[in-house]
Amino acid sequence: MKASFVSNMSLQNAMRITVSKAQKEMLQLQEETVTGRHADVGATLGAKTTRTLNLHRDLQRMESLKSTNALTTQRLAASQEALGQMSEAANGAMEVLIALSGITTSDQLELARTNMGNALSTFTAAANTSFSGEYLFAGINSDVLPFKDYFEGSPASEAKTAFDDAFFVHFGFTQTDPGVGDITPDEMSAFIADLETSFLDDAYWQSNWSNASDENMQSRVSAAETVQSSTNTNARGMRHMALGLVLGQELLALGISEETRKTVSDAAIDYMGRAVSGIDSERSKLGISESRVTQANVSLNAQITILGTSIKDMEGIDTYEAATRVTTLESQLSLAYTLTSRIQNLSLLNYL
Amino acid sequence: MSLSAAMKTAQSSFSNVGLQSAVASKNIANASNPAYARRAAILATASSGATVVETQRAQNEALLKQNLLSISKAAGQDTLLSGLTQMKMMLGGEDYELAPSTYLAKLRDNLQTFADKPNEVSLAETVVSDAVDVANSLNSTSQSLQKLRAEADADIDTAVTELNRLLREFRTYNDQVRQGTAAGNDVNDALDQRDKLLTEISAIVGVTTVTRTNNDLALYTSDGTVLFETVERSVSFQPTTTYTATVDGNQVLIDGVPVQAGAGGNTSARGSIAALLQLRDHTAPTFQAQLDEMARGLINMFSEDTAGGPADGLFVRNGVAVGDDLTVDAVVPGLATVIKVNPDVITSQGGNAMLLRDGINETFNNPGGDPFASFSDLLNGYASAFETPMTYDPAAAIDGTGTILAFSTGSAGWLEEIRSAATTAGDDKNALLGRTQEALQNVTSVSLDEELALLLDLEQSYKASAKLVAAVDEMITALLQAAG
Repeated sequence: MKASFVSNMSLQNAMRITVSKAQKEMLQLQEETVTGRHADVGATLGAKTTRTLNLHRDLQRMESLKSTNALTTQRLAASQEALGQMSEAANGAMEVLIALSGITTSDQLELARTNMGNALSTFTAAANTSFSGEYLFAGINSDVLPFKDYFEGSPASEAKTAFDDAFFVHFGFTQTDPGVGDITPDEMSAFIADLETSFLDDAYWQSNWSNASDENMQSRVSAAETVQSSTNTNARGMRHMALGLVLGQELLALGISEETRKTVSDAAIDYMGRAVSGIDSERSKLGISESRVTQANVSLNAQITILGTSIKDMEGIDTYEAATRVTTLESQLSLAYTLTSRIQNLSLLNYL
Repeated sequence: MSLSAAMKTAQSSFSNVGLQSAVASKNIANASNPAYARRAAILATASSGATVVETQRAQNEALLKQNLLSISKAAGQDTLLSGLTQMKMMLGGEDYELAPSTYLAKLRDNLQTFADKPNEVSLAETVVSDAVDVANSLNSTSQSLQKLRAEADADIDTAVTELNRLLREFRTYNDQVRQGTAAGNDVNDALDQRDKLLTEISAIVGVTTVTRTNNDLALYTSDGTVLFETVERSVSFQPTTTYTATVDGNQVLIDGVPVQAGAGGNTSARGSIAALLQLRDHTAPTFQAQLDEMARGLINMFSEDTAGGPADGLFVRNGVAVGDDLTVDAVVPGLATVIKVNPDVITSQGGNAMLLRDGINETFNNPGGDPFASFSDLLNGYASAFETPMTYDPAAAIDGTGTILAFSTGSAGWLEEIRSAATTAGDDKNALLGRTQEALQNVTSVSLDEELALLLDLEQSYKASAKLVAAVDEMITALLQAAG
């Protein structure tokens, strides 16, 4: 007959199970206290793991967008700087042209011509600005020099040749021919009008002046928004700029009559004016992109903060609670050990 | 009453004490044997004092049955949980470093960076190496999965062999019990062995017991199939050594009836075989289907819209028939094992990473002319494909539509949901097992203190009997002396 419903085995097992459970929990809490998140996130969250993984992915995405935005910002800033130089060159050229009215001495004309040439060089250099391995004004054809140098020595540049040809075709003689003195203002106006038509023709422009693609670079600035992050040398403003400067460079100092020169100078001033407004309109387009990037960064930063908080909410633990729990478990465990050794000593054997 | 009667009673007391001490010492010797049930020598009053009529074995039918059930539940749950943990390991640690979802997100981010700066070869190389990572992750995860299935299959084979051996042994002891009981012999040792075998059998397959005449035991599985009735029933299994996504494993037949696989994270499996079947035939294949759907999604996302119809682009299949139609929203079994990155874009294999920008099967970047360095139409198309929802086969057990990124994290979530349920259930079932074992042991195991106290009793009783004998002896001596 069994008198008591307790056995040595169950006594030992009960202690063993209690101690091993406490140890397991302690191990888990230790890790949680140090890392600040659940020891086994997947087992704790179950199906909600999908959400935290999605949040992590979004967070990574935002960080990555922020770093590409930094690149876009730099590209836009470099473009703005170069466009600023172009606009400055155009304004400078315009001042020279305005100051020219009534001047006829060949020295001063030659000086004005040189000024126009310098402005064209400045413009060319600015149009060929490159930034981290890509030409800023080449559209998507960014590994090719976008704007051809008008002053290329030998062989002469295509633009120069094309201009000379056009002149010859229109008037029947070259610029150095004494016949230029007989060109009437009307004839000159007609020539300039033809030239403008040519410059605005894409095939002429692309074969003589520009290697750029019409398609601008696009950059993604946020999950939902892409912006134009460059412009190209096929823009109207650029063409007018080149036209005005070439007129000044090539026709101003010729031995043409006063009235005809005035026609040339007026046309050049007009084109420079259009150039300035054209370039400024490109600048404002890029400026809009710049502000979009800034806006996007503000919203990205806000989202990063929110995502970080949500991730913490899902995965994080209360470290204070965990630490308290560790302390409690510690005293429980030491109590269990003490009890085990006491109970082990508690045997009738010791008293017989 | 006479003095000789008193003597006789004292003598029988000696014999009782001897028998009771023998039982007590056997109890003490087996104090730490979990398969041993405490014996008690039962006394009955007889004309000359008392006699030991039988040795009774402590037992409790209800607790024993509860214990068997707890063992089979805990064994099934533990088996499933260890398989699920192994699957989780395929995805990496707490941050899911090796999961396809992680590599996919990295691919998307770097693709976007490349699309913003399409003239940089190093970025193209980065994207291609990320794509290789994605393909490798899909390949290795599905290979590990199939290995897991093969291991489960091998474990089933081992378990079936073990079960057959246990059943044969069970028959030996059951025969002993049956015959001994019929003959009225002491069958306690055989009962101990039979109970021990029962606990081992129930860890492999859940059993219910029915006791019949002469303590004969019949066993039925938790599915209701006869496992043992007078003789053991055959348990058969044909192992499969090589597993791929298209291979199905064989069934375990008990008495010709297939064993049902467990279901759910808190599994319905009783015993390890049902849980292994669940892993091999349900959990792992579903996860494989999810990987295959990811592979199908990837190939479709990066396919190029050429003049001759869509053609595989960055990701190609290596092995599955090229004619397989990926446009139908259905799982292509094993696609995740054979997906790889197109060698045309891998520099080390003679390819050119920039084809990713310009088009692999035909040139999309300024066809006929020099390619534009910053052409990003294709790249932006790929990047936005990451945001475009696709339709997936319902067999993958996750949301039917969603972006590939959501699908890939959904896959991790699916696994974690099951594992989370399995972990909780594992704790619960093991706690229950601990409780039932404690209760059972409290009834059937030995308490040393009790045995020692009993021994003290026996010692006193022996002393008293000895005293009695001495007294009777003295009396008889006195009588003889008086008689002269």
